[in-house]
Parts: sequence; C-alpha cells; structure tokens
Amino acid sequence: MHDPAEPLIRRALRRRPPPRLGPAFAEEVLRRLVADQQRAVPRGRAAARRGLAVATWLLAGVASVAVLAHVEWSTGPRALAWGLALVAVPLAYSATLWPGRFLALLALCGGPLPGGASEQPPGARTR
Amino acid sequence: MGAPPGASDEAIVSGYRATRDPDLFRVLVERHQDRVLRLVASILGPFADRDAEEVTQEVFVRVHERLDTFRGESRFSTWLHRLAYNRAVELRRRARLRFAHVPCEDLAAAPAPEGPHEAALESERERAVARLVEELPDVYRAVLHLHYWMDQSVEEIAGTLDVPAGTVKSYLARARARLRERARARGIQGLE
Repeated sequence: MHDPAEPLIRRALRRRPPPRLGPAFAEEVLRRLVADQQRAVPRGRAAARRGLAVATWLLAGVASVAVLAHVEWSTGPRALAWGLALVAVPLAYSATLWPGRFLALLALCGGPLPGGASEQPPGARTR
Repeated sequence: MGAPPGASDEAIVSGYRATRDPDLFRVLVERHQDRVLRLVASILGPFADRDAEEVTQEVFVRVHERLDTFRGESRFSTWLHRLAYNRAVELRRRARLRFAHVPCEDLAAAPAPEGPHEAALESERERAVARLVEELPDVYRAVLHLHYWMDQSVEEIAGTLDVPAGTVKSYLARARARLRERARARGIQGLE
C-alpha cells in the first residue's frame, strides 16, 4: 500500500549526494591485502617464540621438581631451594619472552652491588 | 588473467579460491565497491563519508579473509552486503559512545537556503525529515536509507539484514510511523 509520507522521505534522503570513491580504490584494497599478508609472517614468528618460551618454562619447572624431589636436605635448605625454584621458573619464562627487559632487571638488581652503577648526587654532571 | 566478461560473482569467487589471482578479486571489488560504499554510508550517517570509504576498504579486506567461508547458500552480493551492514552498524554504535550527541535544536539552527518562500519551506521540511531519520534506531534508519536512498527492493534488504521480507515491510512501516510521530511532536508537516 502506498504511504503518502514516502515521497517526502525519498526527497529528504536524496538531498544527500551519494559518496564517491577514489579512482584507485580497488588498487588500494589489493595493496592493503598484500601488506596484511606480509605482516602475518612476523606474527607466525612471534607465535613460535611464545611456544619456545612455554617449552622452556615447562622444562625448567619439571627439572626443578625432579631435582628437589630427590635431594635429601633438612627443612630449611629445602624450603630455600623451593623458594629459589619458584622464582627461577617465572624468570626463565620471562627471560625467553622479553630478553631485553630481563637484562634491564638484572642491571637494576646489580646496581647496588659492589662494582654496580654508582649513585650520583642530584645535579652531578657526567661527561 | 582476469574474469571472463559476464562471469557471475560466484564463478569469480570459486576461480579466485582456486588460483588466488588478484585480478579476479579486483573484479569483485570493482563490481561492488560503489554499492558497499553507499550501504556503509547510509548506516554511518551524513558527515562520515571519509569514514565510509575507510570502512568500505576494511569490508573488502574482511571479505578476502573470509572468502573461504562463503558457501554459496546465498548470492555473493547478499553475503557481502550483510558483512558490510554488520560492520557499519558495529562502528556506528562504537562512534556513538565516542562522539557527543548534537542536539536537534542546534542542527535546526542551520540556515535554510534562500529562494522563493514555498521552495525554501519545502527544502527546510526535507532537511528536517532527514534529521529525524538520523535520530531513529539503527534498524529503522537502515531500512529507510536502503529503500529510499539506495533504491533496494524489500527482498534485497531482507537479504542484507538476513530477515524475512515480511519483517522488512514491517520495519519500513514502523520506521515511517515513528517518523510521523516525531514530526508531529516537532510541528513538521508533510508526513501525514
């Protein structure tokens, strides 16, 4: 059934000119597809790296448990060894995932040790 | 290589799947780009034509990614339009969260074109109706644009929205009814 409002709605909407695409639109789409495919390759590399990190983490975990289960220590050293293992395993994991940050953390921890980075008074100039 | 003239979209899709010849995909893009742009632009609304071009490009990238999932149960154009529609609606909803709403009174304050009294009145009425359309919920605004701006038939719209044709007819009727209600509330004539 014809609605008397239709002509006005049609005219109202047609006031807006149809948008136009640039002449090279299809070309740009194809270029973007190629760029996306090239980006997908490093993504595969990142997945392999993550897999390696998980494998390292699992290996370190299993090795720690195997060693700790066979060591006959008294309660104190045993607790210390477990504590160390619990710290070492996540560290091994992060070291493989973010080697740069891991080295930075080591440098930060090593700062206060003898031979580490010396503390300078504020305003001291380095050459 | 490229597609033989007159080859159907579905034939080109299967050709592209088999050969990965970029020229075949280019044919698909060139055939549908203007329609997809208008569809996207109709959902995003006026003043977003630059975004519409960007979204259209994104739609074709998505089509390329999902081409292997196209089973041929519907026409390629229907599948493509549905994908474009869903993406545009998603973006419009997100944009609504990002951008402040422009009050209708501010839009109404825009100067009307000069000219004979009747023509100016008519022009102002059309502009007012276009503004009212923009205030409608997504689905009503979309069906109105698809039908009256893009000249799509009820069946084509049904394919795009993935609903029965009867539902589209009812959306159209309800959209016009809502327009009429709002027009009456604001004293805009011509929709009765």
